[in-house]
Amino acid sequence: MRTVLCHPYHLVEPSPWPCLGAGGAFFITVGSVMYFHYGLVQIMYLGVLVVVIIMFVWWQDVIRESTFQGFHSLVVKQGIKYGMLLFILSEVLFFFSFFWAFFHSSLAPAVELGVVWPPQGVNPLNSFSVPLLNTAVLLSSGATVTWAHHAIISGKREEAILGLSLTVFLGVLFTGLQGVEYYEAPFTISDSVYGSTFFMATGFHGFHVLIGTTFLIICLVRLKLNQFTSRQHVGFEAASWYWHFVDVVWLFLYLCVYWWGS
Amino acid sequence: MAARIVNRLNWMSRRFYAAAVDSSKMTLAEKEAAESKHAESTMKTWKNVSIFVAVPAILICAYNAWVKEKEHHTHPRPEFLEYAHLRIRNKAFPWGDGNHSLFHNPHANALPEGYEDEDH
Repeated sequence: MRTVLCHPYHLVEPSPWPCLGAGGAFFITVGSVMYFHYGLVQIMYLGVLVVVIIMFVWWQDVIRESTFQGFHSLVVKQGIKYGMLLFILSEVLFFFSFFWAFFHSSLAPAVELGVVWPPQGVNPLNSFSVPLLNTAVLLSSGATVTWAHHAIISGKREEAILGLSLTVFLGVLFTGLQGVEYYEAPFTISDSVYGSTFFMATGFHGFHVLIGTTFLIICLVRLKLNQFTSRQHVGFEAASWYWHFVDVVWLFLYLCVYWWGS
Repeated sequence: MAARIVNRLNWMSRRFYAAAVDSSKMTLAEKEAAESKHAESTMKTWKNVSIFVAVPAILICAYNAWVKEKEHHTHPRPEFLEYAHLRIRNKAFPWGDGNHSLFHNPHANALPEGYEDEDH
């Protein structure tokens, strides 16, 4: 049976999930502000609940449309690819703001900090210890995800499952090591603008690693359920693009915040 | 702009897979078979990179981190000095007693009043 739809028609229905998901994300943002300022936690929980529910129904719709209805024609796939690229671009700009804050504070350290970076009294982490290991772990996961990708294209299912499982394992390992580093760090988020910029930038990167790992786990489950073919696997491609983006952000964080910044 | 990037990516992947053979006179099925074959050799390359480059790199970095952390733990922790720019508490943290950061480590992180335990 042919699995490629070469006609130019866009067959999928408009979806309510992007708009409702954005609403959920907005509730998380506002809820977090309410939590940090007033200790009010309910709005944040509501936002998380909405986002989790929408993750399920949105993925369910995409899997139905792609795998079970066969609606992923070339033009539909191209639309999804535009969407993913624009989303990643917006994420790049999101991280720009944290790097901006970091360079603003570190290139000309304020007199209150002792005119030095790291500020007087702050002992930074050794960038050639666990952060270097984390760099190796994340770069390696980029190699294993490419292994899985080419295995899917060449129809080698077992190889693809192995490569993707290793990628997920490396993602979880990275998160675990970051958790240990956070606990062992001699400074906290309240230790001058060094702590604020460090935990804001690396913390949001950590969140993105969790999102990317979730995305890869979904792909692994779909791979095991035979939902990808060598021609039809946009979901996997989107996950691997996102994973590479998270990887590149880490490289910049490592070079600027961990190495230069220490 | 986005359209151009996607077209460019598609063009690059086509070039990438079709580089080994002249695809102009092939049927779609033959092209797919050629692409699959080419992907298999690329897969082997990345599998080899994963096993023979990534795994040793992780092991070397893990050993290096282990040695450095072990050495680091023999040093006494820095003396508590009260700086105005450190351990800022403009408002209470929303969790716990409001005085401990989220990843608080009693040995490594002092409170505004000083360390909670003796160094060991």
